[in-house]
Amino acid sequence: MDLFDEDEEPRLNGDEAQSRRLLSIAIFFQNANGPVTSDEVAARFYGPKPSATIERSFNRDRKRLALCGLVITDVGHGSDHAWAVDKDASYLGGSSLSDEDAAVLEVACRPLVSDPSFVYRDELRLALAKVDRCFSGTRFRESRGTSRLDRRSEALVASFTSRTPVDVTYRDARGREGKRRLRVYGFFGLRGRNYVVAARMDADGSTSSIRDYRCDRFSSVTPVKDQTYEIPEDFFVEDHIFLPFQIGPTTTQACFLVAPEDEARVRGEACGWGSWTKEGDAIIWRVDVSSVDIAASWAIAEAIRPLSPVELVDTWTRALEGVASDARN
Amino acid sequence: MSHGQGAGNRGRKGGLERLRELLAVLGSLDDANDEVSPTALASRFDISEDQAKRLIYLLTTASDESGSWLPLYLTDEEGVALCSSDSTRGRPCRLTISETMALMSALDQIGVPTSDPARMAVSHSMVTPGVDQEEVERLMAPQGHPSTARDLDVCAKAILDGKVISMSYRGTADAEPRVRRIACHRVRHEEGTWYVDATDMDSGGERTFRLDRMGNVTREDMMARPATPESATHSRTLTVEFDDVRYLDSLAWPGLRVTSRTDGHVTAEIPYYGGDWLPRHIAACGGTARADDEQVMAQVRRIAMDELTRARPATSR
Repeated sequence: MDLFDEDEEPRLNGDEAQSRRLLSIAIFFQNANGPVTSDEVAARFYGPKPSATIERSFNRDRKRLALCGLVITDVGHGSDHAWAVDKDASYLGGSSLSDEDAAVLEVACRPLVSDPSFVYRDELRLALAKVDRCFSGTRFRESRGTSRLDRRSEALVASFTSRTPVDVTYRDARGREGKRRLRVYGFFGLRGRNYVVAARMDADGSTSSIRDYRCDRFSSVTPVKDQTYEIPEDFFVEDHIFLPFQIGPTTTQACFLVAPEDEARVRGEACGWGSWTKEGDAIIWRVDVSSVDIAASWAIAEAIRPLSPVELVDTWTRALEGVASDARN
Repeated sequence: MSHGQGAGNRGRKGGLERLRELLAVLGSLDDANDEVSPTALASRFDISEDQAKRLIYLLTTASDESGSWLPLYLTDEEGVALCSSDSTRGRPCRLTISETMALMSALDQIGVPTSDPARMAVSHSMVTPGVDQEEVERLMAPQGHPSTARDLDVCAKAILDGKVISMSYRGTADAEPRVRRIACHRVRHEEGTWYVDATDMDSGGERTFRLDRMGNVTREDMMARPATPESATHSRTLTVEFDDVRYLDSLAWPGLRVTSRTDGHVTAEIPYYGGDWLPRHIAACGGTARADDEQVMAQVRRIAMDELTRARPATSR
């Protein structure tokens, strides 16, 4: 494709044509020497149409540009409209990031753009494009492989950002599908999956149970128009990130022995759960458990050793004996 | 905090996404000779080079009825650059609310403290006023440790300037940490763990290092050999059979791809980089999972026997 060959002008699809039109409006307002009258806006971008139609179109276009970070506002008086970029809301203020720091941020944050368990990856991709404004050179030649958010996850993120409730269809772990209205309170990623923490809304508008939902189990997500909500100030998403053996009611407390060289790693995996003590040379982690089977398996995977209760130690031992028996035979 | 950006205000995703990309690129064209190449655009927006060229085409042809074009010239890289900053140009825009939350959440996850100078510069100049940092932490699950941010910073700088880093590293086969010098090619984040793909300068081999096992990470003056990211990750793919699918949900399996699923039995492929991570996870399935690699399965059995041997005195306490 030759960029400046008029004979080779590509056919633009609807999205591209609209984007170029809005880009033109953005370039114009960014370079305007002062406020622009509605008549001039109409003449430059909307052609001969009824003024009410132009006003509607321009308002819609301003909303779209605001979603990109460019806020065009009315600075006129009364019915004498005059339009200009809201510089405080739109443009960078204060001392900006150095080019080197911006590049370092881009390289360090970039892996999260490709991480399917980082629910804000699409927004981060666009944020980094504004932070590091280098779009040339060779440092971007690495392989790609970003997995974009699916439409339903994107709708959940949008609902969270705008604090708009959503009507959803959700399939639970047993495969049962049900409809409910949710207020999204937060997100987290775990074991390669995205989870949303949400409060269920009852018919009277009150909220009941707050629980975790797997983003890939929603089959529909529809925003509820003209409603917003607040997230309780005592809500912390970390309180809802459970370890795999903590799903369901607590049945026992487990005590694990952790090797000193593994402490930092296991603390990271533990997501803040449980208590840590040093007893002699031993590092002990005590944590609530719902499923002894899964706790035993998790302990093997993380190279930590259960000390109590006996039921957990026995389950852990049986699992290992099942694996080791092949070697003895 | 205002929450005006909602699903109700969103147009079609494709159109709005293109527009957001275009405005980000426009913001980079504010000085003479600022350049945009299709290669960089394709990489940063995860689009094809053809799509990147179409974005550049939209930039070059944007105008109003009287034709106020951006003054651009063609570059050697099939991109464009701004002729002059004295006429029409772009202006960089602030991050939107959702972009701000995404960036703050990413910095939290990496472990960058709010007192970090670069983070403060972003907070002061780029983010949307009114986004509450404490609220982001409360709702977006910060996980990172400051040491992760510090080591990532060193690795990122080494990637950018091509310098070697030295570190002490305890690999899965090492009894004690030992000093290594590596040329970083890229960093990755999978299942909550940060990895560095690099060339080991002493052995010459391509290796993957876990960031949380790296200590005393220091950037040296020595230049690394040219990066070869295409060959940086030397892994082989194993097939693993699962007789109990619960373990697919309860344990982390980075890169696993299910290839068939029948009546509670799952066959999957997973990359294996060496070490005992994968054997240990297979052992954690209690004999209900098998890999198609006899060496790996021998390691699975050895791990189980070693654990049982070591456990006898400990669990009898």
